Amino acid sequence: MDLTSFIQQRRPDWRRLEDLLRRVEGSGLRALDNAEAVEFGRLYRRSASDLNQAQTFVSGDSTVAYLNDLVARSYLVIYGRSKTDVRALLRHLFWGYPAVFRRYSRHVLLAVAIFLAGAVFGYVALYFDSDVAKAFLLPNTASMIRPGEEEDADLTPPMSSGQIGLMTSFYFANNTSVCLITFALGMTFGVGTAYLLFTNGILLGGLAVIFVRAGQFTSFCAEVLPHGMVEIPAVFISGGAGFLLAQGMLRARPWPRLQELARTGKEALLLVSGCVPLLAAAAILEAGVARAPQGFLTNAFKLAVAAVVALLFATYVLLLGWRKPGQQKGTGLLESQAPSSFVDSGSVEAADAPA
Amino acid sequence: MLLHEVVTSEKVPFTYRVAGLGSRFLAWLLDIGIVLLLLVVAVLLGTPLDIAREGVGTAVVFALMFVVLWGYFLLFEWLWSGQTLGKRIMGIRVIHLRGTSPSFFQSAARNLLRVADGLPTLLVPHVQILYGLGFAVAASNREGRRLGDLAAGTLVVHVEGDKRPIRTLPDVTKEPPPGRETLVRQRLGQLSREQKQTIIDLCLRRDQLRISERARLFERISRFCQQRLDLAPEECQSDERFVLKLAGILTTDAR
Repeated sequence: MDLTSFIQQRRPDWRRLEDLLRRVEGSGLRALDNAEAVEFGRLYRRSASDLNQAQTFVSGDSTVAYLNDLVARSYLVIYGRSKTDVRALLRHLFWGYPAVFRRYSRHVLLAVAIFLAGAVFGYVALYFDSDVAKAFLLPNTASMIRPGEEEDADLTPPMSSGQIGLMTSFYFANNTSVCLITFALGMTFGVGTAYLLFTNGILLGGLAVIFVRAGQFTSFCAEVLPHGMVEIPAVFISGGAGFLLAQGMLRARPWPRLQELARTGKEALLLVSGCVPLLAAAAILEAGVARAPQGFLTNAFKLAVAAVVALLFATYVLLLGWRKPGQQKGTGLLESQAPSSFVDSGSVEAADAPA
Repeated sequence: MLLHEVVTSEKVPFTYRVAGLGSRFLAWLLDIGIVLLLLVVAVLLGTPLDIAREGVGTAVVFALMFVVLWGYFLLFEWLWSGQTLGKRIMGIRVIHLRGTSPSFFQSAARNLLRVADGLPTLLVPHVQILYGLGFAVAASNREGRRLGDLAAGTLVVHVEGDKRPIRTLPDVTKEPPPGRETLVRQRLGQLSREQKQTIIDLCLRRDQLRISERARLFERISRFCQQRLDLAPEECQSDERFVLKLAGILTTDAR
C-alpha cells in the first residue's frame, strides 16, 4: 500500500467526517438532516475500513493514530445510548420490578435473617442487662428516649405542613443514604452489608425493649410500623442487593469473575433501585402519620394505616408482574439480560404459589 | 501508555488510551471542589425560603444536598457521555468496556459504589476522602479500574478529540523520487513466490507474535532484503517499518 496516495485519496472523506463529527458532538445526531445522517454512517464505515487497512500495513504511524481517534469518536456517537422512555420506566416500576424482587428473593431473605438475628440479640441483651447493653449497643442518643414522658405529647400541636415537608425530606435523604451504603458495602464480600443489617436489627430490638419495659408497646408499634412496613423492607432489599454484589465477586461461573461481577452488578442495581420509591413513601408516612402527636392521630388509626401499607406492599411484590415473564419489555435503561438458564430457580418455584 | 482495545461491530479494532490515576485524581479534586460549592449554593437557596415559610427552606436544602452528594457524578456521567466537569477539564471520560458511553445503570453502579471504594473512611459517608480500597484495587489491575468500575464494567480513558487534527498527517506533497519505487519493485520481482508470501504473511500476522519473536523475524527479513536485493532502508526507522513498506509495494503489485 502506498501511504502517500492512500492519504491523498481518502483525505477528503476523513475531513468531511471530521466536520460532521464536530457538529454531532456539539448537539447530538439530531443536528444532521437525513441525507447527512446516511452520509455520516457511510463515512464512518469507510474510515473504519481505512483504519483496518492502515493498521495492517503501517505501524505506529500518525495516520493510524489519527484514524483511530476519528473512528473512536464516531463510534461513541453512533453506538450511544438509546433514549430513556418514561412510559417504559413506569411499566418497569409496576410490572418489571416485582419480578426482579422475586428473582432475588433468596438474597433478600438472607438480609431478613441477619436483621432478625440482630433484633433478637438486641432485645435479649437489653432485656437481661439493660445498663451495660445500652452503653454498648445503642448510640448515645438512645438514652434521650424516655417513653414514660410520652403522655405529654398529647398536648403538642400537630406539625405545620412546612415542618412535615422538612421531616419528609430529611427522612428520605437519610434513609436512602443508609440503604445505598448498605448496598455498596456488598463489595466487601458482603461483610459490611451484614454488619449494617445486624446493628440496625440490634437498634430496633433495643428500642422495643425500652418501650415494652415502659408498658408502651402499642405506641411503639404505632410509631414504627406505618412507615416501617415499607422502610424495613427497603433496608432488606438493599441488603439483598449487597449480597448479590458479594455473590458476583465470589462466583466465577459461568463467566470469568470480572464479567460475572459486571453482570451481577447491573442486576443488583436494578434490585436496589426499588428502594427509592419505597423510601419516598416511607418518608411521607413517617413525617405525616407515625410522628404525629397522639392527640392528633390515635394509635388505632396509625396501626390501621400500617396494615393497609403492609397489604399494598405485599400485593405489589407478590402479585404484580407475573404475566408474560418472558415478554417483559426493557426500560431502555438496560441492555441484554442474563441468559434464561442463569436466572435463579427461585422465581420458577414461586411461580406456582399465589397464582 | 496503556491501550484499551475495542472491536467495533464492523470487526475493526481501535484503541483508547487508558487514563492514569494522576489525571483521575486531579479531575476528582476539581469535582469535589464543585460539589462543595454546590452544597453552599443549596444552603444559600434554602435560607430565604425558610423565612418565607418555616420548614420549607430546610426541606429544600436537605433534598438538594442529597441530590448533589449522590447525584453529581451519577447524573453528569450518564447525561454527558461519561464526563463530569472535572473530567472534561482534565480531558478524560468514562466508557463502557465495549467502547460506548456509560448507560444510566453503569453510571449508577460506578458512582454508588464510591462508598465501597472510599473504605476504610466512612466518617463522611458521601464525600470520600481517602479512596484507600479503591486505590489499592485500581493500582492492582491493568487498566486502573476501581471497585465501582469493576461492578459497572467501565474504565476511564483519555479523550482524544481535536488534539490531533488532520494537519498532523505527514506532509504528503513531498513525493519520493519517482525512479525509486520502480527500482524497489524490480528488485522485489526477483523473490520467489514463497518468499513474497512469507513477507506478506508476517506483516498480516505480526500482532499475534510475541514481541521478541516479532522483532527477530522482522530483523531477519529486513537483513535478507538489504543484502540479497541490495535495498537500503532509506527513511524507515525500523526493520519492521521497512518490511511493511516492502509488503505494501508487493501487495499493490499483485493487484
